[in-house]
Amino acid sequence: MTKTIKIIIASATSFLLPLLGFLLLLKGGYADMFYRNHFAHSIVLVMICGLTFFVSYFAYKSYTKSKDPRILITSLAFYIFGFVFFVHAISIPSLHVFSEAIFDGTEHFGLFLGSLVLFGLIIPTEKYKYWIHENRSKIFLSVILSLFAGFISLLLVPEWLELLEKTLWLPIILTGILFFSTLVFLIYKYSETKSILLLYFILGFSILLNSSIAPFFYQEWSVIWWYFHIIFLLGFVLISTGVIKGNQKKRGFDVVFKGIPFYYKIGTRLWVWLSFIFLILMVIGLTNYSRVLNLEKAFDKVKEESHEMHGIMDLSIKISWAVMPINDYLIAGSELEEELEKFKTLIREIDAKFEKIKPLALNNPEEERIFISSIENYSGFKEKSLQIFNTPREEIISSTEIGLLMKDADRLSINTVKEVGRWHKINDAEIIEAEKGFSRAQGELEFVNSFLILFVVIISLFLSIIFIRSITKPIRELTKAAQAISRGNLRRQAKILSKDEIGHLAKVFNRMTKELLKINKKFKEENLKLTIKILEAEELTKNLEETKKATLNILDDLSAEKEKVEEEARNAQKFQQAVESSSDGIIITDPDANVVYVNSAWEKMTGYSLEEMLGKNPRFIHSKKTPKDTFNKMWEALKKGKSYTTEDIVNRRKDGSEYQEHMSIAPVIIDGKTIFYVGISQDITRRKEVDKMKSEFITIASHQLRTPLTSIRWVIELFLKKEKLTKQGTEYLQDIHTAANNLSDLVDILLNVSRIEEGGISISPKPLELVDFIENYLKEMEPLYNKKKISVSFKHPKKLTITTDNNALRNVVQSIVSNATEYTPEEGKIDISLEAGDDTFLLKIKDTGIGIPKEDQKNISDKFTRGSNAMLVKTDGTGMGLFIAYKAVDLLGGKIWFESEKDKGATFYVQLPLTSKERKGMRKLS
Amino acid sequence: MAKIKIVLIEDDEILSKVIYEELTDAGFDVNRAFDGEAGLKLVESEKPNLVLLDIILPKKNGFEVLEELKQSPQLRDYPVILLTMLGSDEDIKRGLKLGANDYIVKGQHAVAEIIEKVKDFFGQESRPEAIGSTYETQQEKEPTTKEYQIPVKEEKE
Repeated sequence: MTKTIKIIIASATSFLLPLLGFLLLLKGGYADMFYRNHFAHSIVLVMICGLTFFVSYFAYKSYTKSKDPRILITSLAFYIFGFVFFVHAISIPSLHVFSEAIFDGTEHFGLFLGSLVLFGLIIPTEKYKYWIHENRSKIFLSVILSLFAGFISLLLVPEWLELLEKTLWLPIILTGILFFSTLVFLIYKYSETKSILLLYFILGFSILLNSSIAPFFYQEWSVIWWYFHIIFLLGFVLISTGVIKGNQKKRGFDVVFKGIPFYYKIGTRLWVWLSFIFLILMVIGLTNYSRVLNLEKAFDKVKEESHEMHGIMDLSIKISWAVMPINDYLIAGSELEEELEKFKTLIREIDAKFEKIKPLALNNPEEERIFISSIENYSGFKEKSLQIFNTPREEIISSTEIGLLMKDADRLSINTVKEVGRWHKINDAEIIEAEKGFSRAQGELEFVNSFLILFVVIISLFLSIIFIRSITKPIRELTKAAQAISRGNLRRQAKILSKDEIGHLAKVFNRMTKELLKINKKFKEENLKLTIKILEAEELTKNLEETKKATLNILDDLSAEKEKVEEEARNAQKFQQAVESSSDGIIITDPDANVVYVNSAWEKMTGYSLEEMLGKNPRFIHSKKTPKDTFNKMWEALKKGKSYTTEDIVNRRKDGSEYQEHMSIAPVIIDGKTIFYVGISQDITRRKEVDKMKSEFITIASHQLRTPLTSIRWVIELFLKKEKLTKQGTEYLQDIHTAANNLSDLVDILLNVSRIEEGGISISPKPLELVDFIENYLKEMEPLYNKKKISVSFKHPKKLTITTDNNALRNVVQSIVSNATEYTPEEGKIDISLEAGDDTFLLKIKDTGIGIPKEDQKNISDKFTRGSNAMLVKTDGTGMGLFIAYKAVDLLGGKIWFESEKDKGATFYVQLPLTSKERKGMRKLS
Repeated sequence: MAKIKIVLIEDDEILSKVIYEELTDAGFDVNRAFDGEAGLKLVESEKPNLVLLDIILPKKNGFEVLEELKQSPQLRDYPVILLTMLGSDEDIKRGLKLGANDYIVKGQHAVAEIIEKVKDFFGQESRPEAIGSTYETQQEKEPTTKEYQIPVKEEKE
């Protein structure tokens, strides 16, 4: 049996179960039991209302995610349901808010509107998906507004309301048709997607389908009416559960119409529970039904206590049945005499029976009492009946009381007959007698039927549970198997033997897992073969490359073909030897950075052999100590076709030890395409260590030098302050003090150099008035200028505030200006000018000094380098000043350059940003 | 009135002597130690108003001394000015982080400037007296500062 058929059966069951319950109630006489409670009704409606709004909200939420217009339709439909049920709830007559017509109409009309919108599910809306999504708020708003408008128009135009009330059967039938069409579509969709969510919808709508049948059979406020309210509530609970479950599963709701099936478990369980509720309802119905049979206590007493008494009942029944044809005679007006004869015969039979029972009944006083009352009742009835028969036809018709009694006796329900009887003040006993006979007769007939119905219900319930479970069980098994396989258990097979689609799927699934096993095995073998092949191919590529070169040479020079090839081969060999024996590590990779060659120096340096590295990306040897942006910068340069050199890379050897690497990497480009990357590496760990030791030594030495220097200075300061000295003595001491100061400055310079060498200099820019800064410095230097009679000019804008690192800037200005002063002979000139640009400023320092000879200009910024002519002028220069100035300018993000000729002075240009960037570091220039 | 007490912990004898003489001349009561351990003991016994602490010291260096001072509930409140020879950034940052109130770079200053700085320290400490509200909070925070504010003022006058 296919799944589709199963679901059709499930759907039919959910439609039929409430209907059967309804039929039982109807036959049980509940159609005439009324329970008028507006409050309870409103509560049921508010619950339905809440559920539908809830569904609407959830569906809308899901729609904004999935953009499936059909979900929007669901949301809209449920909004409409909610709206009209709400109106229905607040228009209960006892509230006196709206007229009763609205109360009656809104319920069915609302169901119709909702089902109409829901019918939109059938329309393929894929094409307008995005338009709908863009305008979703407008669509929703217009639906809400038109609902309000429609409702208000009903209030304002009473004719419409009247029309609606009169044609209420139309929306009821249309609702049924629409629900049914939607249901067919949903079942069709279910056969495609197997979504359990759809199952909820199908079952829910199957239940709701009853709404188009039941209303024709019940009256407002009757027990059946209430029954259907509960049933519809259940229908909405089912749908809401589906929507909420769907939303919880995240992808859930959009697999309503496409995608994979999901949780069948919940679906099954819920359905079983609902089925039990129906079952319980039906059992209650049946018990009540039999209670109807017990209504007539007198008859039952007789029945219980005496078998023979049974005859009385039979007779009474016959009497009541005999009364019935009178109607026909009243209308047909013939064979009255004949019927009267029949009736009289019947009475005679009854009389005889009473005579027969009499001695049996008289054994027991209670029985006797009942018997006598029965006889009395019977006698009264007999009399009345005979009276009816004996009355002329015309008279009966004119006597409305009796006419009505007879006309309605068999057609109206027990309660009505009772009421009519009382109202007309006809002998109560007679009426009740007739009534008893009536319900008894029907009851006996229906009792057998109802057990048949109950049997069918239980069987169908049982079947539906089995169906649904059989739908879900294989899926569960398949899911388990799939999960096991995904966890790596390739030997797991799905144990499904059924012959439907699922069984088929399971077979395919099992075959697939077997294949998977085979493929897995094969894959491992192939992988091995492939690796070997790759290695061979690499060899081949290498050979090919050589051949290519050789071929090119042949084309170049055919005559020298042989020699050329030989020479090339020799060259290649030589070249290879050269590369191989290079003391620097050499690594060659393909454009994807996979190693194709490393020389022995590289092998030695890293501990990894060529074989280990072949085809691998060398990045795995990089230690985490390498600054992160190093490789980004490297690739940036390489992608542009430029080479890149760095000393930042820290690598990890095979044995786990680390080393610092100096690496130059360059792309080899032929015809615009990168074929290789060639990297040359050196282990510079030792060099770096030495550098560091050097720096540390300088720091310690500086400290050790400075301590006694400070002592000297301070003692002299004390001496000058405390002791009385001759003028010459004071001068001598001041000279010593100056010398100590100079020495101290020198230590400062050395210290800065060591800091620069160690790296990690911090730059912390702060606002600074540059003109004042330079003027202050010049003022400090004034004694020296005066001594050497050097004229200094400073051209500058009024003010210039910049943001820079004070110490770094001081180092730049100090070293260049002091150099200019040192190397400018007496009576020379120094011209300083300051110009501010948009983002930078330019400081120009021009002197008439000895200049820098051409041959020294290239290296002048190096450590310890001085112009070759400088020694002639000043013997105590360190050659550190420009080194520090260049480094400081670099740290501030600026540029420094100069123009100079020997003996014709030098002009230094310093261009610095108006705002320098901050730079984090451990050390600061002093 | 009692003199302001200063403990000077400096290993270089000449430097120590110069600072000692100048501070004594300026009217402070100075006690000296030449290594870290002796310095700690001296601080404990003298309960000074200020500790001048060199960084490079035998036995216990300046940072260790500072750390111990700041960890001890009894000694925590004594203000400390670090004396450094080179004035390297790392040293200064580390010292201030450990709780030093200020620092002086010996190598960059004339001795007179150092004495000025010490005087300034007390001058600065007494400044809140002029401002009513902040004085209250200052007083609560460091009750020891109150005692020596008065003599300094008198001396200056």
